[in-house]
Amino acid sequence: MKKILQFLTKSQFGGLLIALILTCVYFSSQSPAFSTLSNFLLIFNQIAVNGILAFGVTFVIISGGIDLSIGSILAVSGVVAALFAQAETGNLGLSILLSLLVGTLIGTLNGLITVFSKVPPFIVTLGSMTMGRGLALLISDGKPVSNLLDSFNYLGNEALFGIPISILILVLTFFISTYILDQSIWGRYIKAIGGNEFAAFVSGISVNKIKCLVYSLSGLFAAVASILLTSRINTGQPNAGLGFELDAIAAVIIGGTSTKGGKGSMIGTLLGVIFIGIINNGLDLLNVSAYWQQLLMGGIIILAVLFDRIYQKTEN
Amino acid sequence: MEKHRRQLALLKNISVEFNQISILKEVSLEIRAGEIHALVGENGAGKSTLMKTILGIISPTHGEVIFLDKIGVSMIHQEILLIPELSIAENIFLGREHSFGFFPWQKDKNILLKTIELLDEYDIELDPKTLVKNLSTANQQLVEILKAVSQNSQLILMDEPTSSLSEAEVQKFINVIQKLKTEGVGMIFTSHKMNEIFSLSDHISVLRDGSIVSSNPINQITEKETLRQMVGREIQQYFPEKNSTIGSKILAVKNLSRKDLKFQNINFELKKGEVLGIAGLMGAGRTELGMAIGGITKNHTGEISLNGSKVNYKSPKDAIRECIGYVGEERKESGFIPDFTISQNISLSSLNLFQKFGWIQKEKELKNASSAIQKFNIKHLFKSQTVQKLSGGNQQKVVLAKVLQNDPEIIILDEPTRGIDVQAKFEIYQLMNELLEGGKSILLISSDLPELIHMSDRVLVLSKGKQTAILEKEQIKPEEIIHFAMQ
Repeated sequence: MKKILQFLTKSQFGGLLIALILTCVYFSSQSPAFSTLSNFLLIFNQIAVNGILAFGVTFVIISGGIDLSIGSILAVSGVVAALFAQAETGNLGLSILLSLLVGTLIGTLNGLITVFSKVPPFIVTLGSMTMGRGLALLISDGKPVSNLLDSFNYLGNEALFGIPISILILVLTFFISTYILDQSIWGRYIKAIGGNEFAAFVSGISVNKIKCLVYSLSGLFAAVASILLTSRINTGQPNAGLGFELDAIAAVIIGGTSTKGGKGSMIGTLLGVIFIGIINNGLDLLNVSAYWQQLLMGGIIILAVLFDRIYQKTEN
Repeated sequence: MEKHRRQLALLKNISVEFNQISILKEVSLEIRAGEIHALVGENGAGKSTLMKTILGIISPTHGEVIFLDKIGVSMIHQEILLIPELSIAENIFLGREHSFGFFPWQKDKNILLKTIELLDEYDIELDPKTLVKNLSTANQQLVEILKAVSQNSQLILMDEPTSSLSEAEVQKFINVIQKLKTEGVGMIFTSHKMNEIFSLSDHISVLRDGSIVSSNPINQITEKETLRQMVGREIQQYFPEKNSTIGSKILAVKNLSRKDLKFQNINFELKKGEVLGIAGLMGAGRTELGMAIGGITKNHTGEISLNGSKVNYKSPKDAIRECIGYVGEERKESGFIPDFTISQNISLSSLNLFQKFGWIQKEKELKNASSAIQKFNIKHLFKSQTVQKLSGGNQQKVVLAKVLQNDPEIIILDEPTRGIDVQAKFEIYQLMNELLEGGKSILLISSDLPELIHMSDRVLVLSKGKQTAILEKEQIKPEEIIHFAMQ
C-alpha cells in the first residue's frame, strides 16, 4: 500500500492516475451501471480508435512537431480499405495492405514537406488535413462506401477469447509503440530531436530522416485506426474522423507529453485516452448533455497542462 | 570650458557578481562632460557589463554609480534597436508624439520638421521619411545616435559602434561624435580597433578580468603600453605538462572560404599530436571555420583533405565517420540534450555500438557510461540525473565524453573551458594532453589567451575572416596575437 502511494505521488503521471481513480469512484457511486465488466469493455472498445491515433501522434509531438492531418488520413485510408473490400470483388489482405500503405504514404509526404520546405508542421499538416478530406470525398465520389466483405466486418465487431478484437489491437499497438519509443534507437533519436534539435544534429543524428519517420508512423497508425473504424460501422465514410485529431492531441497532452517536444510517454498517452473515455462514458450514464460534456472536456485539457506545469516547477 | 570639464558621473568601487563569479571588481571611474572615454579590454574583460551597470540595467553587487546632475543616459547597442517599418522621423520620436500637437497631421508635420532640423545640425544627408529598413547599418546607427541626442542625453554609451562600418562610414560617424563632444555630451565607447581608439578618444581605461588596470588621458599612454596592459597578466592558471611528439600530417585545408565571406581563403595543415590554436576577435570567423571543418555547415568552397585524400562530408554524421569530433562553442545549444541522463547523452553519437537490430542494449550502454563517468570524473548526485542539472564543467565533460566515444582522430574544440571552474579546466587540459600523447590532433578555438598560448603548438590568427598569420611556437606571444588579430 505504501509503495502504491509512493508511486502515485512521485511518478510523472501520478496526478493523472489519482484523477482517474477519483473519477471512477465518483461515477460508481452515482451510477450502478458504471462499474460493470460490460461497461468497461464498452469504454475500451470506444477508445480504441482514439487510442491508436494518439499513439501515432505522440511520436510526432515528442519530436517537437504536430500532426493535424490524422483525422483526414483516417478518412482516406478508410475509404481505400472499403473500396478494396467490396463483398463481391474484394480481397481482405489487399484492402488492409493498401489502406496501411496510403496512410503511411500521406504521413511520409507530410514529413518530407516539413523537412525540405522548412514550413512549420502546424501549417503543412493543416494543409494536408484539408487536402486529405478532399481526396477522401473525391475517391468515394462523396458517398459512403458500403457492402463490405463479412471477414472485413468481423475485425471491428467480433471478439477473440471474449475480448473484442479492437481492444486487442489497441493493446498490441500500445506495446509496439512503447517498445519503439523506449527501447529502439529511433525512439531515442526522436526524443533527442525534440529535446534539442541542433545538438542532435551535431551529434550525428540524421534529423531529417527521423522527422520523416515520425510522420510516417503517425500516418500508419491513423490507417490502422481507419481499418477498425471502417469495419465497425461496415462503411468507408469520407466524412469519418472529423475532429479526431483534436481528441488524440488532447489525450497526448493530458498524458503529460510536452508540447515543446523531448518529453513524453506512451503509457501517459494511454492513460489520457482512458481518462477521456471514462469521462465521456460516465457523463453519458449520468445523462449530462453533450454540450456540457464539451465544456468540461476543454476545461480538463487546460487543467491537465496547468497541473503539469506546477509539477515541473516543484520538481526543479 | 568649465562646462566641458564638468563631472557627469562617478563610479565608486563597483563590483558585479553572478552566481558567485565576479565579473567586475572594485571598478572606480570618473566620467566627464565633453569627453570621449574609451574602454578597452579582451573579450570577457567586463566591458559590456560595466556599460550596462552605468545604464542601470545591471545593479552592482557592491558600490554605486553616482550621477552628479539629473542627466539622460542612452546606449547605442551592437544590434540596432530601431523599428524597421517606421521612418527615420517616426523612429526618433517614437513614444513622444504627444508633445508635438493634438491632431495626427499636426504631429506628423512637427516631427518631420524637428527631424530635418536635427539632420541639418549634424550634417547628415538623409530623407527623414525614409523607412529605417531601407537604411544601411551605418545610417541606422546615426539615427540611433540622433534619437539619443533628441532625448537630451548628456551621456551616450556605445558598445563597439564601428565594428560593422566601412572606412567611409566610420568618418561620417566620427564627425557626428566630434560635434557631440563640442556640445558637452560625454561618451563612453568600446572598440577593438587601436588606431581608432587613439585617434578618437580623450581618455583610455583598460579593463582586465573585471578590474581597471589603468585609466589615463590619451597623451599619457601609448598604443603599445595599452596592448601590454590588456593582456599582460601573470598567467595564474596552472597548465599541465605536455609530452606528445608531433607526427605526420593528418589534415590539410586549402583555400577554404565560406560563401557569406565569414572566413576567406584559409590554408593550414595539422599534424598528429599537434594543437593548432585559432585566435581572433569576436566576429573574426573562428567559430564558423570550426563548424565548416566539423561538418556542421556546408556553405563553403575549397578543399579539406584527411590523410592526403580529399573529403566531402555533407553532415556531422559524415564528419564523425571520417573520425572528426566537434565540441561547439555553446554547449547548451550544440552540446547536449538537457532532459537526457548523463548516460543517454554520452551514448548519443555512438548508439550503433550499443544496439542489436535497432534495439538499444541498455545494460551495455549503462556500463559504458559508468566507465566514462569515472574516467572523465563527472560529478553527479545520482545515476539518472539529467545533464541540465549538472554544473557547467561537468556538462562540458559529458559533451567531451560523447564526442570521444567515437575515437576521433581530429578534435575541434571551440571555447572548451568557457565559464568553467579552475579545477574542471585543469582536468580538460589534462584530457587534451592525453589525447595528444595518443597521437590525436586538436584544433583549439579560444578567446582565452593564456590557454591558447600554453596549449597550442602553432596559432592561426584570423582577422575579419582573413588569415593574417600562422605563428610558430616561439612566436606565440600575446602582443603578437593581438597585433595580427587587429590587422
